[in-house]
Amino acid sequence: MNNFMVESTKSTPYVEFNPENNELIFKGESYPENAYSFYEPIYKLIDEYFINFQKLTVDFQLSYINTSSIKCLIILFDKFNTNYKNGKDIIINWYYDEDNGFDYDMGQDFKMDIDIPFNFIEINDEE
Amino acid sequence: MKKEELPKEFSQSYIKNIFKIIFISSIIISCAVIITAFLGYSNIKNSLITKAKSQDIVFMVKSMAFKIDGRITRAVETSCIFAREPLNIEWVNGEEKDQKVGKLVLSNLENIATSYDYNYFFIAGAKTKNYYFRQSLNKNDKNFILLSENNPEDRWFFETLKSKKQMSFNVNYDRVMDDTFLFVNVIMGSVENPVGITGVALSLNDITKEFKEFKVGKKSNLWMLDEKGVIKLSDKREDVGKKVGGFLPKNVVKQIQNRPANVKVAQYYGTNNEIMDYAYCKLNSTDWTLFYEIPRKESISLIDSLRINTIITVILVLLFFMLLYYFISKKVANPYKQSMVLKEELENKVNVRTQELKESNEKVKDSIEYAKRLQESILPLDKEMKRVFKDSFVIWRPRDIVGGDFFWLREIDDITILAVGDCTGHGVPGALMTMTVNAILHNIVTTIRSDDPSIILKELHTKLKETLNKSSNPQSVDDGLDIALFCIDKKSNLTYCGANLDLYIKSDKRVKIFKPQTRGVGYDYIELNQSLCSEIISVEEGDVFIVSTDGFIHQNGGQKNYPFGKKRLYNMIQKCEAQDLDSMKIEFETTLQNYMGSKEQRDDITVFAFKVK
Repeated sequence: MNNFMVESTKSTPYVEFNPENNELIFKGESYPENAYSFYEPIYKLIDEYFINFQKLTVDFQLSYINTSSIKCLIILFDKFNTNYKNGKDIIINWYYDEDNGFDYDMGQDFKMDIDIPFNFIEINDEE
Repeated sequence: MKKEELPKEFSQSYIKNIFKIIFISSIIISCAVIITAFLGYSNIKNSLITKAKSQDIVFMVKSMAFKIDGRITRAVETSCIFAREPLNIEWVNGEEKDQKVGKLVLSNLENIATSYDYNYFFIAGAKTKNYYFRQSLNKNDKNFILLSENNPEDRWFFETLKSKKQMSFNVNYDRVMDDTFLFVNVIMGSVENPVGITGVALSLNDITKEFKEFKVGKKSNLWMLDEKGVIKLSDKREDVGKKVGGFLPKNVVKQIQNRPANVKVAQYYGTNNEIMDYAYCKLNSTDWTLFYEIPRKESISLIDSLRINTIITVILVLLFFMLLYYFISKKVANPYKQSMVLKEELENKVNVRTQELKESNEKVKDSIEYAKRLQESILPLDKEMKRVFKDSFVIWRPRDIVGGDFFWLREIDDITILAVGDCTGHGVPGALMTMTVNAILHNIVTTIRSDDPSIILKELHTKLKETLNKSSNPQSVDDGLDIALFCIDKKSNLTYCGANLDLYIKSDKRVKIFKPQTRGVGYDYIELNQSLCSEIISVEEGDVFIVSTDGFIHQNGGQKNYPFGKKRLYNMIQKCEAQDLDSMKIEFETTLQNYMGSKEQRDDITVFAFKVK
């Protein structure tokens, strides 16, 4: 599987999918006009990935997520949850900034819906 | 301002560019012209030098030598014939006593001189030492002079007699004729025992004249040199008799003394570092050398005018090109003017398009403005709110002109039903949703007449799904809404049911948060819990009920451009000390504005606050 990388824009986050390191990273803000078209390729990648791989670490560092992106992330988390229940090893790291508040709450909301434990990690300004 | 500045900058850079182009092309053309001119000049110069050295000088020396040789050879031949004439020998041998013969001899002498263009012919007897050179004009006239060994001018005679050479040359002053001559002396009789000398005198003036005719250039020299390097003949009389070493460098003198039969050409650096070209060759008729030299400058004096002409041509060509470039860039091509015309054309096109866009935009805007009026018509009026609530305020700020946020109020019998909602999307799609939701809510409360918000909510969920998501494909993000629903009866009993919206109840410094009982309403992916039920909230005096759609907490701003967030919202509500809700509204709006700064509004924002009567 190839690496997948999307640079961040004003309204979409930086996304890096690195199958070699079993890593998926989201970083930035997510409020595109058409959220589904942004997240759809990632769904496909994840489906393909779990055919061959057993382990995945997902890092989220999203300072803002709009309503339609939230829905897209719910779909994403559902996929993780299904695979987790099927015995895959999935770790979710949810990075948040104490100054923000929004991101931590978002993480809490997502956490409620799925069985995978969330690691809440506070980020410092330096990062 | 901008419009005026732009062309100015452009024109400045344009002029700069013109000068750059003119400058660069001028340099290139200058280089080309100068190189061409220089190459041409040096080529012509070289070929002129080659020509001068290999042809002109050689030709001159050759022809001069030929002429002199011819003259001398003729003189030698004539002298030899005369010297061998038995009559002459006999007359001289007889000490010139035979007057009859003498008359004949001297007559021959004069005849030969006049008819063969010699200055004069002479005959001198060894015994008598008498020197005859003309016929006597009368009887008393002496037709000879007596040569004396003591006279330096006559020394040639005695030296020639002793020389044992049949023939010799000498240049001498003739005291009889008062002129300097080139003498050809031939011994009469045997070399061992000469009886006399006869010969021809060639006037140096004549030869010099010919030298002058041949000579080219003012500073050139044409010399005839003897074996010792003494100048025997020159166009300049004063140089005759001087040693050539006084004029030429040593190595040149040495070269000349090789006396080649063919013409040799070479060059040396003279005084003032002047290049001198010279040619020399031995004369066939004598052992003398003909030498010719000319300063390079003079032999190729043509080159001076060529150089001046070349420089003038170069300057003219450069000037011409500069003018040409100037005119081309200024008048003919003038890209600036053309670009200005083009710019105007484009601007006109853009203006037309802008006008069209403006019109169509106006149309859309008008239509949306009208939609806004429609949307506003479903919102409760101020007076309704004042009648129903003790106090209330609403911040309703769609991101675009219309939006997906709404609030809704109905009084059915004794019950007041309040809804604050946030439909998916914003702008026109959001507004369409609000209208739909409005219709459904109206339908529900008029048909069911429920005082339980949870029932209304469930009903809304079902109906909305029926209405909107019937044919939705599983891929699309389906539509729904967040909503807070209140039912308040006349006894001020308040029941509440929320979907994805928090309810804040502020009593003095205390703020209570009622989390929503469920997630959004109407979404396909949400299965509404059928056991969902409303909260019954006991109302205290002064309690302020506040509901905010997510637009407020989503709004970005602050130092890190983070969303406003729930924490800040909570703090804002908690810290608010306003006594009446109008002041609270102003405080909230100010807080929001301060946080947003110059950032754009991200989502529809609605805050609804009320106090129950």
